[in-house]
Amino acid sequence: MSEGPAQTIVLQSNDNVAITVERKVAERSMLIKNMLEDLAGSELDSAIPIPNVNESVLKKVIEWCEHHKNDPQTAADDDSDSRKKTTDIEEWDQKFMQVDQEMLFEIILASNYLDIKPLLDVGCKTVANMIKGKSPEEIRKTFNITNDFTPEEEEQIRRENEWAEDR
Amino acid sequence: MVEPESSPALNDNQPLQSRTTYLLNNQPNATSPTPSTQYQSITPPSKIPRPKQAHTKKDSVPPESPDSPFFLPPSADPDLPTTPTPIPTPNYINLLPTEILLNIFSYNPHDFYPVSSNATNPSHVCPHWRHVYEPLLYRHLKFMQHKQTGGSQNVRLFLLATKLRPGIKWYPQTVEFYLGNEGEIGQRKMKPRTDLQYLAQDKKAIEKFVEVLKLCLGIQSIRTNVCIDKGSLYQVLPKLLNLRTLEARFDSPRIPIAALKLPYLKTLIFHYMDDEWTQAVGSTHRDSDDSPSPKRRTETPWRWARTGAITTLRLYIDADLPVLYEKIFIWPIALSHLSIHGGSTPYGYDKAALERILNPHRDTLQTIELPDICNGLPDLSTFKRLTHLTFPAWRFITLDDSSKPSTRPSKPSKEPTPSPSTLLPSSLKILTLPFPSHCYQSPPRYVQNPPAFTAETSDWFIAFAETRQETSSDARYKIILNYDVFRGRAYVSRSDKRKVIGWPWTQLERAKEGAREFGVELEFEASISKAEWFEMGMAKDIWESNGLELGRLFLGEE
Repeated sequence: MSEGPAQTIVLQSNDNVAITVERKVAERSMLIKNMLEDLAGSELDSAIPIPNVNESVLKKVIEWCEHHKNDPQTAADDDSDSRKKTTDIEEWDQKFMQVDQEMLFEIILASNYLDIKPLLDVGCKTVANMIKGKSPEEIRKTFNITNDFTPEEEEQIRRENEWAEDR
Repeated sequence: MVEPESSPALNDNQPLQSRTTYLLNNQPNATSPTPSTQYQSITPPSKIPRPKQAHTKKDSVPPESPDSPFFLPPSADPDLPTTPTPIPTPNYINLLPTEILLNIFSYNPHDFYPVSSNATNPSHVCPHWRHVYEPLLYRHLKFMQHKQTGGSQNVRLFLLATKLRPGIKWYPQTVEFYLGNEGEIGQRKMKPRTDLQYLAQDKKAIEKFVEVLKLCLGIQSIRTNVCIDKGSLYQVLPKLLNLRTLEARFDSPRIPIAALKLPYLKTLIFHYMDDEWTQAVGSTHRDSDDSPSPKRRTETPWRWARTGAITTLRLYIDADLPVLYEKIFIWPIALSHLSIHGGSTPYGYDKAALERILNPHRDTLQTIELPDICNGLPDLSTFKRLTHLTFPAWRFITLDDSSKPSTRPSKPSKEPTPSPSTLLPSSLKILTLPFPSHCYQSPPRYVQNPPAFTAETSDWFIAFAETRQETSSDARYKIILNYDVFRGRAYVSRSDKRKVIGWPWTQLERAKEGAREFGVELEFEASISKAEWFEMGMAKDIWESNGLELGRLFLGEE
C-alpha cells in the first residue's frame, strides 16, 4: 500500500542532520521508494538514515527531486543502448549542476546510491560535456589526472593517433 | 535511532573492496552495463574521517551494529590515506565506479572505431580510462576504403593492436566494411567502385577484412557492400557463430547456404547487384534486358538448409528473375518480418510469385514491406499475425478500379479483382501506402505520373475505412500515407518544367475526416510541407537543375 500514513518523511544524512521532505519528493529515489514500500505495514516513526551522503549533498539532491517531483517516472527497463545518447541538458539542470567538481561527483555518487536515474544521467551528461571536444592533455588538466602511461603504451597511443589521421 | 556512521549496512554477497582494488581489478566487461549499485563515498583526503562503505540499493534492512561481521571500522580501509597526498585537488573522476565512468563515456559523440582525429578519445587520457573505455571503443568497427587513400591502414593497425593485446579481439560486436567512394557509402544502394585499377587494392583490403573476421569470432553483426558469395569471405562465415545480422551483397545464390546455417542469425539483408562492377570483374556476364541470362534461368541445385532461426529478411534486389531468389524465402520457418525492395523491374514479382513467396510464412509473418512491387496484392486474409503491411499506394487503390486503363496492365485479368479490404487480415493494424512516382506494370510497362490524390481517391479511402470497420475489430487501425519529396517530381509536368502542379493533397483532409468517422486513422508523412511545396514553385530559375539538387535545396541540406 503506497498511501502510507506519513506525507512527509525524515531523512538523516551521514553527518546526523535530519531533513524533512515530502514523501513524493523522496520517492524520486527508487531506493527510498522501495524501502518505504517494504515497510508499508509497519509504522515509520524514525528517520531514514542515508549513510554515505552528507548534509550538503543530500540537500542538493533533495533540491533536484523537489524540482522534478512531478516528472513522469521513466521506464525501468530502457537501458543504455535504446536510450538516446544526447548530451543535451535542460536549462534548470544545467544551472543546478554548476557546482565545484567535488560536489558534482558527490551528486553523481549519491544519485547512483539512491537510485535516482534521471539525476545520474544529468550528472553523467555534465561530465561528458566536460570531456567532449577536449584533447587528452586538456582532460587530464580538467580532472587532475596524472599521465602514468608506460612508454610502450605511449608508443601505442602515438600509433592510434596516426591511424585516426588516416581515415 | 541508529548511528549511520558507526553502522554501515552491507550487502551480504558483496565483499567490501577498497577503492584502489575496486578500480584496478574491476573488469569493465565483467560487470553489468547498468549503473553501479555500489556506492563509494569520495572523500578528499583532507576531509577525514568518514568510513568507506559499500552499499547496495536493495539493502533496506536496518543497518548492522558494530559487532556485525560485516562491519568494517574506518581504519581498516587501506585506501584512505592518513596523511594528505601531494595532489592539491583530488582526482575525483577516477573515484567513480567503473560503470558510471562507462556511462559517461557512452555519451561520447563518436560511435565507432577508428576514432576520428578530432573526436575526443578518452582511451588516451590515462591507463585506467583506457582500460575502461576500450570495450566501448572497439565495439563497433567501421572500415572504409576510399579512393583517395586506397590503403587498408586502419584495418592493418587494428590487427596490430590485437596482436599486441589479444584481449581486444573479444570487444568488437559489429563490423562495417565498405569499398568505394565516400559519397556512396551510407546509401542504400551500395555500389562498389567500378574502376579496374582499384581491383587489386580492393582484393587486398578484403583479405585484411577477412583476417579481422577470423580473429573476432564473437562478432554479431556484419554490414558490407562486398560480395560475400565466394572466396575467403564465404569460407569464414560458418565460423562466426554469434552472428545475428548480416548485410551484404551477393551475386550468386550460394551465399545464403553458408549464412543460413548460423544458429543465431536473425536478420539477413541482401543487396543483389548485377551491375557494371560485376561485369568488370568478369564474374558474371550479362545479356540484354530482353532476354535474361540463361545462366540465371538455370535452376541451381538447392539444398534445404535447416536454419529456421531467421526472423527478419530484407532484400534489396534489382533482380530480373525472382524465380531464383524465391528459394531464399522457403528456408526460414519462423519468418516474421519480410521486406523486399526493388523487384519492380519489368521482370519483377508478379502476384503469383508473391503468393509463392509469402504463403509458406502465412502463420508467422507480422510485417510485410513491399514498397515498390507493383504487380498486384496477393490475398493476405489468412495471414493471422500480420499487423503491418507496406504496399504501393496507387497499386493498392486502383486494385478494384478497372476504369483506369492507363494504369492497368494491358493483360486483361480473367476475373474481377476483389476489393483490397477483403484481401487483408483482421489482425492488420497499420497499413503504409508509399506513393512512388513511377512504377512498372506487368507485362513491362513504365508508368510515369500516377494519378493525383483526387476527390475520387478521397472517396475511396472513406469507403475503404468503412469496410475496414466491418472486418477489423480493432478500432485503432491506421493508414500511413508515405510521400517522398524526391518523388514529388512526378507532379511537375514533364513537358514544361516550369509548370508546377498545385498541392496534390488538398483532398487529403476530407479523406482524413471521413476515415476518422469509421475509426480509421489516416496519417500523412511527407518530407515536404505544403508551404515548402509552393516555395518550390517560386524558385523557377532552378527548375532546370535535376530533381535531386532541387530536393536538397529545399530540404536545406546544403
